[in-house]
Amino acid sequence: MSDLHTSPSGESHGSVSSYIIGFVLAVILTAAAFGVVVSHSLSPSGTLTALAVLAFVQVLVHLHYFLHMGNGSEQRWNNMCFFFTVGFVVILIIGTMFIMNNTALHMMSR
Amino acid sequence: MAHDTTVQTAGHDEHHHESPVVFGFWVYLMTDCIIFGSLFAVFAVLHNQVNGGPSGRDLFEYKGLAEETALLLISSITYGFGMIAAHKNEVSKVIMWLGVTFLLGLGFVGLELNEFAHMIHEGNGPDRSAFLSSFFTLVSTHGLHVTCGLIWIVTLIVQLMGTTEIPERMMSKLTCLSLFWHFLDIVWICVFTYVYLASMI
Amino acid sequence: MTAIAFILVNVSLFIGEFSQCGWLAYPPLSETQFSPGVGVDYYIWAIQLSGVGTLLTGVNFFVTIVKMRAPGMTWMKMPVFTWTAFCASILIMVSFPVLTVAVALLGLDRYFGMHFFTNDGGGNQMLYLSLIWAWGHPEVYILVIPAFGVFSEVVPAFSGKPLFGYGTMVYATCSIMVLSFIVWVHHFFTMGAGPDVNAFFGIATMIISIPTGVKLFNWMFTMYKGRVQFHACMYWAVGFMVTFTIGGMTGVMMAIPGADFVLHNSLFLIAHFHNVIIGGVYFGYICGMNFWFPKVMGFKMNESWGIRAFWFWFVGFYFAFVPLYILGFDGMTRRMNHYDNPQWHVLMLIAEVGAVLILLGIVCQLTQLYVTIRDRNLPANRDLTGDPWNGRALEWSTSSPPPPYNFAIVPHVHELDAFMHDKENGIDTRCAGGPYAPIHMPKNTAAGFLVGAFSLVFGFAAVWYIWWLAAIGLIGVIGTVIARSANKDIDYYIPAEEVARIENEHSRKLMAQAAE
Repeated sequence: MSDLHTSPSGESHGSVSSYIIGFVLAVILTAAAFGVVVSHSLSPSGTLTALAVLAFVQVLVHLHYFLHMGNGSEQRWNNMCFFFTVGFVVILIIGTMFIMNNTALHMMSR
Repeated sequence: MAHDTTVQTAGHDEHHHESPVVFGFWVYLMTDCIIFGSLFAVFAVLHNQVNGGPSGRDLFEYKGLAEETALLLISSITYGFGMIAAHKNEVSKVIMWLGVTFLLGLGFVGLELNEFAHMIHEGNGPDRSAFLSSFFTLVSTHGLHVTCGLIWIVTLIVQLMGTTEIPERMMSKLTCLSLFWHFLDIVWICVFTYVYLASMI
Repeated sequence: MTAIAFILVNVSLFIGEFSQCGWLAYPPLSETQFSPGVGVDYYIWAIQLSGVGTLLTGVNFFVTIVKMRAPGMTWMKMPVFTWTAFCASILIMVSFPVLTVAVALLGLDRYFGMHFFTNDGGGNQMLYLSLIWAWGHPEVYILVIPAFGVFSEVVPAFSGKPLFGYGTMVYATCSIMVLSFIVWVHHFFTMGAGPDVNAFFGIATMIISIPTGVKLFNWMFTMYKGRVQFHACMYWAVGFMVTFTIGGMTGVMMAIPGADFVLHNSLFLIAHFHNVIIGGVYFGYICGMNFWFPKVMGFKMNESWGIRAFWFWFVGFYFAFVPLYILGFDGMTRRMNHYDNPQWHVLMLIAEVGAVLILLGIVCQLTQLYVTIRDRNLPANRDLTGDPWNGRALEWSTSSPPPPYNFAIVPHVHELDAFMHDKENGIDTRCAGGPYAPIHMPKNTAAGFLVGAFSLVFGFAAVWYIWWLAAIGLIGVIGTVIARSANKDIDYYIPAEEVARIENEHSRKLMAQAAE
């Protein structure tokens, strides 16, 4: 984004307009998420997918406009840590569900 | 501790990075992210274990959720304005925006406590079922983080009072808190989507 | 914080009781229903406090390595020990939050009657197993990976050769680190998950043996055609290579889910993990202690007692644990308080002989420490040059013990094994003679101690449900942190003249040594 500028320390900080763009996008996405659930216009699985997509996009919006994650050279390590962490969280959540659902199935504990 | 300083030795300033503190805090936030990730995993496993009690569909209300979400969203933009003021070295504006953020955050915590009190009053406390245990733990962990953020905001406001400019160390504290506050927002996106809305379908 | 947790555990010996639920406090045994006493509460708070301390250490090391390397010290010029510390820090930061959550949920079950792992209320104890091992497996690598780093420093130093396959060593360390996240089920194959889960985690476990094998071959090729000096450190290193290989191979055997159904919870398992923990971790850290002791203290450790200790440990280890492998195959389970099978008796006696030999090994080590300290002023034991082993990495370029600022002038790194490169090319790493500049140092602070003390108060109060005292502890911790953040007086400078004085003194010692 052109209106994001970088300070000498490499930590970029936004301007008023970039915060407002981010805020408007976040409000729209949040409202859409509520709307999808309230209106019951999609099938349950469709709603779930829509929610997941909306949440994912909103997380990206927040990361970009509020946390100012970008691809500057000074931010490489910040980004690397972030993606590594996300990767581990995905392993943990999917792994746990994989294990526990499979165990429940075989042990008939549910 | 003494080891940290070895390469900060004078004469080699070209390699002296400005922001190990902020980076360190970012790394710490990542570990926090894993705490939330584990709690989400627990919720994912236990959310159907209602033990004959109420499920999310019976308990959650749109109104309270929408209010909480709105407060947190607005607070993140007010904090953002505070950061912009800080970069311009306008101390009084920083204090003002931090104050607004504090009130919004306080409102969020108040609403959440009210919701919890209501649920516990109706007999649907965390000891009712595994689902409610994991719900209360996940949501109140987030609430506890917001409370820590509030304490932190007050601390910084007090430290800023009476000063006329923002030294570098103060700036890095404000930046850390900014990361913290926006990070909590992101966690809340996952909470309201996955915990609340998804169980209301 | 770790020290605080240790104190808390010790307090429990006198006031109340400690957990009687084994290492990992599996529910439902650790739930209030079956453990109503305060033992498990002590366990919970000790784990939580030391967990926080470990996590902060991990963050500290990680950020230091990422952001504060010396000029020219690119990633692939970093000593392997630093690499392993880096990987261990990542493992700490990734896995300890999971432990915090697992133990916190157990605590919530006990304190607030929640239903995470209880039998009733829809709880699921198997979830605890999954969470605790999602921490527990990375944890064993947190133990052993720095030991790998120690051997990667010791073996080249005493072989007079650079480490064979530096790059593969780094990649092997990193791949072990990543793989360790996806193997945690191998601790509970028998829990009842289906073949697809067990097969996935079993295969992932076996894959780990490949980078580990790479490391072993690297160490062996480092020794090959080198001028190997059999110093006490080298005994531990070679003993490690043999012992750890056996332990690793039995690990691969247990990674086969079908075989694990037979071996799970048997003495075979006990022998396996002692084989890797003693043979890998213990040998590694003792080796490291012998290696870096002169750097830290300024005098060398006694060698003959060190070698005696090694032989008792090494021989005693095999006497003690090889019988356990056989007993495990014969079906003897762990934690038995008595057995009726006369066939097991002979093997148990042999194992006991091994235990006595290991005891003698420990006695030798204590003697080694005693003799070392007694003879510290003998000229032969003093380390005046700061480089007693003809070391390869930069820490050997400073005096022993190093001055408070470590390096008077931060060295510019040109090559891997920077100090050795400088020595061979006649470069003066220390830039002796200056010019020196004032050095920026952090002041010592009491904040850490106060946070620890208040945490101890908090933990103790929480164990006994003394909530007013717990509140005082908590407020104390928060107050200390706030006060510390308000404190502006956190650093000072060592003047250049002081630096010059210390450095010139060290130069004089070096000259005197060279003249002899």
